[in-house]
Amino acid sequence: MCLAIPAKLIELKGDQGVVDLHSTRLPVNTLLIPEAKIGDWLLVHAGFAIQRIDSRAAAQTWAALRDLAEAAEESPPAGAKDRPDAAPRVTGETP
Amino acid sequence: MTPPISHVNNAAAPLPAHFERIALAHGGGGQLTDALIAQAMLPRLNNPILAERLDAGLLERNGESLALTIDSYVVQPLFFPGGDIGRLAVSGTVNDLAVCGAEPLGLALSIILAEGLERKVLERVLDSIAATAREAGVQVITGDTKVVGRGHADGMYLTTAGIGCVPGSRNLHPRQVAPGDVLIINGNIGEHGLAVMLERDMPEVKSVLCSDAAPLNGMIGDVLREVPGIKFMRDPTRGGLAGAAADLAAQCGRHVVLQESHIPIRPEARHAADMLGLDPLDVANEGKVLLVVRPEEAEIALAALRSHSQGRGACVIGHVDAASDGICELHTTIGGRRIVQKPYGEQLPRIC
Amino acid sequence: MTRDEKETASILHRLRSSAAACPRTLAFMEVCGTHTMSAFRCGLASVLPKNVRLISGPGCPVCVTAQGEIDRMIELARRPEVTLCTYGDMVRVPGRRGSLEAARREGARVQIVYSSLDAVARARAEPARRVVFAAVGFETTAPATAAALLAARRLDLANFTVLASHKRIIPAMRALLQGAPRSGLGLDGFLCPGHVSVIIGQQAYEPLVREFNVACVIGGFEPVQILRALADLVDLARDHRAALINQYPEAVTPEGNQAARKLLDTVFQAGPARWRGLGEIAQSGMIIRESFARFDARRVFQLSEQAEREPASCLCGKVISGLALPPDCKLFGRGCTPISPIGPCMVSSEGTCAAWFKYGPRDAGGAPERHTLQEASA
Repeated sequence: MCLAIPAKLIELKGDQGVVDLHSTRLPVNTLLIPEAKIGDWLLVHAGFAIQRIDSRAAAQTWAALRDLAEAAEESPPAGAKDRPDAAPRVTGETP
Repeated sequence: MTPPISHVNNAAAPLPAHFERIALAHGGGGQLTDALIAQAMLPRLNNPILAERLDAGLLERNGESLALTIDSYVVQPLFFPGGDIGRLAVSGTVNDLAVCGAEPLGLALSIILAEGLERKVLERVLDSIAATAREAGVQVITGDTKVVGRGHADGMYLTTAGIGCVPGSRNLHPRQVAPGDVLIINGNIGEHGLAVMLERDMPEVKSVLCSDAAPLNGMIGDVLREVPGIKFMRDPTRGGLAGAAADLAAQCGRHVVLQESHIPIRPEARHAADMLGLDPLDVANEGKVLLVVRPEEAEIALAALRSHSQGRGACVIGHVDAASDGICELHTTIGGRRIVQKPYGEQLPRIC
Repeated sequence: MTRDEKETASILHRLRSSAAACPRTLAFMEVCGTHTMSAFRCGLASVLPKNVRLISGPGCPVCVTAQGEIDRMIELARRPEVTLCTYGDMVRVPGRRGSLEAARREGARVQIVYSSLDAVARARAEPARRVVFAAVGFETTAPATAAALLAARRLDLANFTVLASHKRIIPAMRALLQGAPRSGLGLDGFLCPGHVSVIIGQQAYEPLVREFNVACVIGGFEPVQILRALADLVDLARDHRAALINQYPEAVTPEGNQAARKLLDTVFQAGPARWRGLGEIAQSGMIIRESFARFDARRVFQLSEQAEREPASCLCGKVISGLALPPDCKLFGRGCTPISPIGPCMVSSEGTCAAWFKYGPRDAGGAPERHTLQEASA
């Protein structure tokens, strides 16, 4: 039920925008991500952006984006293939 | 958790799906269609040729083999990116002949029109039928037209039948399939079904995906000349690659293995399938053929396919194992294994 | 070896060696239909060590929508003045008498929408009709419904209402844990749903971890992300630690999506909700607030709560509580199939029984193999 896909915001007027991934374009509402701006990578669920994501993290995480990343990295910058600074966060530990 | 892949003797038997009324999914080309055929049709119409359940029935006469096939087309919308109902009908019928090793001789076309359909819609479809037939090098040699009252049909339905001759040397049949044989596909999967579904169900989405609908008889004819020993072919239409591979396993009684990482799929298609919540393996293709060849002939077959525009993406996607369990299994990218089944019924997008 | 294959191999190595250090069978539960589907599709079970089990919990919102809710949707759709808009997932779900799809065949106006705002747009375009948006889903989907309600109020739409059946996942997880001593459910931790967590945030699980001493790891949906989260869960079990780990930090923050949470709070308040298979769970529902009463289909159409009756001999309640596997059920694959589902877990393609039916093992007749939980744990 909670299918969400990453895509890049390419148009925005008020809170109505258009996202693109691999030339598939769909309308998106950015009410839940008020700070969204064109060029951002967004996680989109049922027509709404629910999260802003780091573009490098997006490329590492979602298989659908890997080809894009690989195409963009014909001459990869140093360290570009490493996992981005998104180390797991641990809290709430009980003994 | 899931128990390990089971080892069974025969998975060919259809599911015991008892029914009182026809559901839409009975026409989906999946397990329910199989159940419908097994429970309603075969008991009344069965004969040795029908029982083979190939894409075309083969008639032997005076040492010659004739192939006869028929299909109906009820696709909505009538026009979609990369094709239309007319191109689909001609390609589908020509391909059903070609995968049986037959060279198409002629087509019959039956049209059911709904009262009120615009003349220009009909003419556009007929133009497409004519163009696709020219592309395939075959002619429509007979036909029929009926009109039903408004509301009794959705615009237009087509039925196409095709007849072809099978050169005496060819013998494509699941029983030829042997352990060690490899599975080849001629290019990216899933694009037809996704393009149609996006056009029909999500018009607000703009996609670059196009139907791959195309007559493949030229390419298949060339491959058969280069590799006369091709064991078996099938066009993975409704039911997708999953349906074709599961059927192959059931019909040849062997264990068929697909390698997920080798199955060609455009990122655009993978993404669209993710968005719709679909498994790309289940999605229909209309310009693809699954070939089974001896491993030593794989390279020649690949080269012959790749010399055609419809086969540039040809690659090996799996093999036939020695086990005789009639099951198709997918080796996944994480090294996992799971059963590949024929889809149950028609595909519906999951949106939320 | 590709980068992905290397990473998968190294995670699997860690997972297997940790599991080998555990003397007993470890059971983890996921509570997200998309996790269920992803795990089945990648053949996850075949790469896990024998003593690690991943159970599917009540994570498919279509499946847990009570039968009475479906009946109310169908009842509304059958009214001549109503156009019922809903997500594609709902149209085939059976109520007591047929589905929305069947109602549509008989003339009801049922419209599939991709976004809640499409339903609002329809109400504006068809002022003479009464548009009802039937909304299901967990916290991931509920903000979209809240946005539609806000838009309706801003536009002062007189012909738009929402039939909301949204649910909150944490109270359901809590109910399972509270019932565990009686039900016999032995859980070593939760694989927490990535996209629900995008909204509610990592911190939302802290009370569960504290009160029940249960491990919670938030995971994404790619196979390698699920493996990474499971490896963490096995490590925690080996070390007898109950901690909360976020293995989906690309998308999940400690506090979640603040704008979405604020919006949810504006429109909904927590209240009791009925779950198919589990019964009523306190605080697990999202009730439309009084201030939006004129857009609440339940109030506007004065819909009555009906007594719920689960289908006889259906084991779905046990399946989504982790107490039975689909093949334990007498109906599975016999009376109950994806095209004629009886129980909730078969109704949605992401339900546990439907996923098992599609991707699970088969017996010699081609029917789903009847391999039971008892055998699996033996």
